[in-house]
Amino acid sequence: MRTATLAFVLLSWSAAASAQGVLAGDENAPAVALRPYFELSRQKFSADNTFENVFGEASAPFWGVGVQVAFWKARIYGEAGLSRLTRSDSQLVGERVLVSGNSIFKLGIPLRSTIEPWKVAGGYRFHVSPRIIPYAGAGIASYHYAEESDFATPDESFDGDGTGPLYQFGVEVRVHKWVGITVGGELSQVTGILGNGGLSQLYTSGGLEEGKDGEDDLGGWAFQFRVVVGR
Amino acid sequence: MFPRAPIVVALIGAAAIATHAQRGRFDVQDVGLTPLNVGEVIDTRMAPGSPASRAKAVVRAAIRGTTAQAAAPGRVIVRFRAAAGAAARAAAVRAVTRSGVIAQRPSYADFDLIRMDPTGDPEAVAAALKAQHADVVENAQAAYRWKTMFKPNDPLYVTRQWNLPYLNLEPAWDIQPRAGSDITVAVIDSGMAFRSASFTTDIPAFSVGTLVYPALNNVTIPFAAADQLVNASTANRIVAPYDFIWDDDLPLDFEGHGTHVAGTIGQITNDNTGPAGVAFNVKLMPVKVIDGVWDEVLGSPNFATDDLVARGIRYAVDRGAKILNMSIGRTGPPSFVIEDAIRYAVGRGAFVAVAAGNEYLDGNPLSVLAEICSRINGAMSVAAIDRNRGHASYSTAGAYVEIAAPGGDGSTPGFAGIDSFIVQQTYDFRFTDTYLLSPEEYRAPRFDVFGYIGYAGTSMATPHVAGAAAILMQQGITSPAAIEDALKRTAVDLGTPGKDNFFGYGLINVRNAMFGIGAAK
Repeated sequence: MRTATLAFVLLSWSAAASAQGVLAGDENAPAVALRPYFELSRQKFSADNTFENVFGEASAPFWGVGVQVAFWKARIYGEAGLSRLTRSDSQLVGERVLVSGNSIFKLGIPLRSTIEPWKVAGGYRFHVSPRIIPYAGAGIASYHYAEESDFATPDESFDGDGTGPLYQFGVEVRVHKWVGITVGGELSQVTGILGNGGLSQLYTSGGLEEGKDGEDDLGGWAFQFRVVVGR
Repeated sequence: MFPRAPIVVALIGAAAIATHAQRGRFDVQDVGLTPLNVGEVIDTRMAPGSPASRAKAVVRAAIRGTTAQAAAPGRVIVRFRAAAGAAARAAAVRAVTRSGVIAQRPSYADFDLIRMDPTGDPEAVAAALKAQHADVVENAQAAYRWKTMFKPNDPLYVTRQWNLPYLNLEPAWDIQPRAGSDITVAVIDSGMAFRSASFTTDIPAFSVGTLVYPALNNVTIPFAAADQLVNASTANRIVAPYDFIWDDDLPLDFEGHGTHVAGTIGQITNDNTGPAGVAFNVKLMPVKVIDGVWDEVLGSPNFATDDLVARGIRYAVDRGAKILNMSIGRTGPPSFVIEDAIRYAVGRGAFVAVAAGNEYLDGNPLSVLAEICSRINGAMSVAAIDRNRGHASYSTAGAYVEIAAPGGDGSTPGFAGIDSFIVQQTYDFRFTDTYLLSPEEYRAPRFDVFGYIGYAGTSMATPHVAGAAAILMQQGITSPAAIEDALKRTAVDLGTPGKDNFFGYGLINVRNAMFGIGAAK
């Protein structure tokens, strides 16, 4: 449902932009422009109940790097990037929990997780003005997720990958001939990691009253701030 | 009370001396000396093939099994040769594990870490690096897991206490080394050897059948604290003692039962002496609601009845107990006051462990207290298993049995004598139960002679569960219902698959009950 809604919004936006004649592109742009970027983001996890109870927060900060390729007068872009948690050792640190009925007890047993997303996406850049360039796109996000606890035996740790669709939009502000700053959002849906065990499974299976929509999605909404270098 | 076949394995005696206080109609005298006792265990030499040696082998195997170290997945420690460049290092790593990357060197390290596919074999990768890339790699190894490995140094823990490893306790102690230090466990029982004292009194004459035991006038009856429950460094662990049999605050144990039960819960541990306890740092609240033979001979004003037990439960909860151990019970009609008291306790956040009963061979009647507790989340009825993890022959069975723990059984196949019992410190009954002697040999009892005594019964199984509950509560599981839930869900299924009438949900597993879950697993 969320995906369909977002797709509808993006299509509407594209149509509106086209109607306003903002699809002209940058006449001075090279045929193909390589645009490396550095980004800071904060992701609010769709599995917010799980993260809130295990890690004490439903969102986490990331840093990321990647490269964007823009072509067709910089109207079309493709990009690939990866990101890591901006935490000590790139880990979220929480604690194991015990669930009984609808009560969750924190056990004080440290649990550390690493979340390593990478993504491939592409989309359209709307040249509203030479300095203001909204964009919208879609792609694929893949997350590597691992968690381990003190005192855990190897079979009590988790290490796995999941993949899902990614939708992004935002506005790039050109602050220099070679530098742009982007503020945007990204929605990812990454399945195959959560929901098969642990607290996320209890939420997903309806074992807990909260989170009845399921918590099998490691993705979520991310707010991004990005510095792009290139035309 | 559910004691069964106490047997003596050790003894040592001592005496007591006195100053003054008043207790009912008796002359009670405080003793200012260090508690006497200390046991000396029966001959522990073990011949190969003997039951004792087999027991030792079982314990050793259990210990090795729980402390075996495993290589952490996805990680190899490597020291590269200084002359090897970054490209050569990376090439060597990739040659042995395609997923391997050299991580940024961690602080305080004179080595590097290779991160690799966690499903790979880090030991094989380390070996391959050393064997195939010696020009680049000086040394490599898997990253083996370290942990604290608490194993009590109490000698009887190794030689006699087969029961504690059955609970998967060592890894539980690693996780929760405080072992219940913030938790008060009420032992609602026959009292407890928690302090020194002595009575000077007259013991009236009494008859047992045709035997007539003469009056003993102006005799002094000494009591001492069990030094494996209370000593100079743990004197403050005793909380709000009360005696409902004598209506005072001196619940001295005339039977040894409550003292033994308290030992399983909280025997002083890792002190190089005697046996260990499950939650060895808990505070103990002796609440005496069971009268012994001597209580009755000496004319106690009360005896164990529903009203007294109900008051004892409510007292314990109101005085701060968070775990109630009730190795007591009765058969017969139901009791609303007991049920109300149990519900009151659980409602106030106290977990209750009760004995399922020892009457399986006596018609297997329903145990009133156990049946009540089976209907209340946060109170559990406990069956006993023997050393073979089988049903203890005496342990009452029924749909109301919820969980099982070691209770020992003198008729356990393959184990003889003390090796099939639950061993804790309590009185040597040969010095306390002098009414079992002939009238000619009869003398005043003394309660200052302790040994490491083997008991069997659901009374002995129950404090394992109470101790486990104390550890779980210390770990943060503050709801009695959640403790029950955790113990049930992580129990090791025994007997017929699933819940059954002999073992309930199975044998408790303390470590697994307290380990919980993560986000994804």
